[in-house]
Amino acid sequence: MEKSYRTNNIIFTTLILLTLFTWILGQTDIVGDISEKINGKVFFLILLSIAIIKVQLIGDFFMHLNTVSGFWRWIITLWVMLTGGFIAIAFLL
Amino acid sequence: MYMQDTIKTKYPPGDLALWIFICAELLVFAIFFAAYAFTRASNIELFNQYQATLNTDLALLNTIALLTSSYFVVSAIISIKENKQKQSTRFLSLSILGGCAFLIMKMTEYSHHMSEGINLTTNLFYMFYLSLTFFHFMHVILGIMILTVLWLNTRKGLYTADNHDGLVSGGAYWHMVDLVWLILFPLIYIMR
Repeated sequence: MEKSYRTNNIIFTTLILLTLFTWILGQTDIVGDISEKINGKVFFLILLSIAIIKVQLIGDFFMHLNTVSGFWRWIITLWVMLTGGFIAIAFLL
Repeated sequence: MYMQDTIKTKYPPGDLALWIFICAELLVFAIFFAAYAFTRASNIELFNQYQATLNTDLALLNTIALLTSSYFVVSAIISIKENKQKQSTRFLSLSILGGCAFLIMKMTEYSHHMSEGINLTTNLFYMFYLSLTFFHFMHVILGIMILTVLWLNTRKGLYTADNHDGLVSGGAYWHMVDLVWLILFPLIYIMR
């Protein structure tokens, strides 16, 4: 059980750090308009990748899908890939 | 019992019917997100202009509130697996507080918009922003109601190390509310 608490703490800290990183990227008054400094598409892909990683962490460790095999193991992955795919097509094409 | 965490199962933890409901909910949100993204593609300047008027600091705090709340739900489930009902009840109280903090911050945001005369008909961006976030807001309310029932049941001692499927199922719904926001936050507030 100690391991479960430790895993929970690590995942939570990672999620908070990734959230803060996302927020910092959006702060034009702190870091300037990053979408103008780097390629706007790269900026978008960084944000989308972080969001996908966070969703996957919630699915795997908070919803415990990492203890499941077969179709249900990938249900959140399928959803985030489908959603992320639609968003990426709309933003990049 | 503790071995269950290391053995792979065919179905997700909790009630399978609730997982099917979660999938349906996620599909609806996916359609909403796609609609937002494709509408934005034809109105990029308008969306970027009005996105800049949103309060990203409050959105950050909202995200932290939901993540913290989810963290406490997981902690409550770990506690119940150790038959620590009181500790589990405390964790569930904290997760409900996290959900309520989200609602209060979102209502502050909505009242600010209303005071500026912003509504669904203001423009396309606000139509999407208000309807998407309000749809999610309603899910947070339902999630808090579910967490409250779980809190009452845990307090009554209805869940034990051997029987806590209800707690796991309710927790899964709350995590779904959380992960939808994890897409919504960068999509509406940050991506440009």
